Amino acid sequence: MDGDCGIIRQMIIITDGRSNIGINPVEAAAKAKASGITVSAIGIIDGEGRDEKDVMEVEAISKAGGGLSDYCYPRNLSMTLQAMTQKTVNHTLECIVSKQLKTIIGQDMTNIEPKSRMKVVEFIENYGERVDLLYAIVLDTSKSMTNKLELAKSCIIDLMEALSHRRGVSKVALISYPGENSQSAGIACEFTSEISVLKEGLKLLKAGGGTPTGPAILSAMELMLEDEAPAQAHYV
Amino acid sequence: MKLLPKLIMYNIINKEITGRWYKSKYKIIRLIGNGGVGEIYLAAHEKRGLVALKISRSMLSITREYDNMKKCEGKNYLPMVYELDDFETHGEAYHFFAMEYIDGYDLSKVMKSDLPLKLKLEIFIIILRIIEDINEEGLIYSDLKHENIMVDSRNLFIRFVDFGSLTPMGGIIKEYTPLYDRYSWKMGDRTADAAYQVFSAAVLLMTLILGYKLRPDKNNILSIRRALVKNNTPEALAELIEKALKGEIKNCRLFYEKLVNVDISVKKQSIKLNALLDSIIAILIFLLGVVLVNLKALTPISLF
Repeated sequence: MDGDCGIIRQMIIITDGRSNIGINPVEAAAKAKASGITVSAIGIIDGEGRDEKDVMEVEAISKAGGGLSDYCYPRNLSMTLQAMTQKTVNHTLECIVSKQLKTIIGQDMTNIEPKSRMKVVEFIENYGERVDLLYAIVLDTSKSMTNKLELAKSCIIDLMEALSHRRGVSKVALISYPGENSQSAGIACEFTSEISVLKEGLKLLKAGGGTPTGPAILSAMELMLEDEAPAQAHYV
Repeated sequence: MKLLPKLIMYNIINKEITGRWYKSKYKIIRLIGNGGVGEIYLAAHEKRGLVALKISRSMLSITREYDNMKKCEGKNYLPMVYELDDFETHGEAYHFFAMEYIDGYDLSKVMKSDLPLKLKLEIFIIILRIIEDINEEGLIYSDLKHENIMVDSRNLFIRFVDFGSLTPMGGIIKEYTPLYDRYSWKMGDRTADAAYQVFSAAVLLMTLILGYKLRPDKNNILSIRRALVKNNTPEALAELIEKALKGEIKNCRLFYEKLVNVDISVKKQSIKLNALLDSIIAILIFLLGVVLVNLKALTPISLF
């Protein structure tokens, strides 16, 4: 494993609808994955009938982005977001460790007998707590989010609070879409470990406009690749 | 809670799956549960008969939970766990473990029932002993909730069915349900400590007594106290629950000791009730007396 500790780059999309502006988000997620970023997505369901294509898009984005997807009702958003974050970090590590194992012993983790997997699982869990994390939250602030925006904000603060207990460094950035002045996405907050900075960024967010999910993924990807961390350290 | 259970989409119901490593064959019968990390199916095994399979895409969480259950093996409060294996369907790899199928109902049925308080307390005390036993292993059962506690209808044993949330003491709680979560009630953080466990147990007890759930985002400790009083919960018990929620009871052992000694007899009310009955009887006797006296007084006149 290169570097003494390594860094993990993750992106999570929180949305309640289907993209309708700009590049296809599945294509954008694939691009992000190619540059070493794992893309996951959470779809918020609220009573109103959603058509199945909305759900399929969330799944397709996470599949192309190498991440995970989930759906939840607004009241479960906070827990889903936290569980998802932990799961995707572990999922990414699982993939990396599996690749490493392949180069060392010539087989990946799924080819280890189930009874002998516990050691690897313990290693990944332990490592997941210590590894540094760059985490971009891509938040849908289109018109349909109006009633859910305040809730989403508090869930993001909860997540930041939970991440602050990790042993490794966690930096969170917040990208909202659509952005201001007909931009497809805006940076509400650059990468930070300070809850207060994130809160300031969240304060200014308002809901309104369309759903350019694809362009927002690309903006988040650019921001993430700009970060001063060594560009080669995509993997642990 | 999920809109589309991810495995149901691949339609494994009524299909037979074969474990990749140990070659056991399971015929999937129906979905019986939906946990945070995977889904639970009722399945038929050629030799063991009915079993429950917990299936997930996440090797990590399935392996972790299987290991947690193995650690508690032999205790009668969890289903027997048989084997951990993989299978493949539609080109995707899934991980699962097979365990004993518990035919019964979960604790929410007990909550909604109108069992007398004394019985509900007795059930809760059994649960508390189980939690205490898990805590003694240095683990916190963070996702304590009705849905994870089953009453086995064959022998009425209490069984815990989800062991994915066990967290070593001192760690960070990652799996929880807001109702039972100290942080959601703003009564502390999500550190896996013994007092966190006491908090979640106290919420469980509170819901058992009330017969309904309160939302942490719309209520606080004061409203719990008010709801308990309104429910005619004995004063000493309501006070104990409040102490537990406030973190004043350090661990489940102490909670148990205090709970078995708590006075739940409803003396005050019975005194009031008796007094009321007594006065009614007294008034009736008095009235009867008055009527009799009047009758005697009236009789000579009417004879005239």
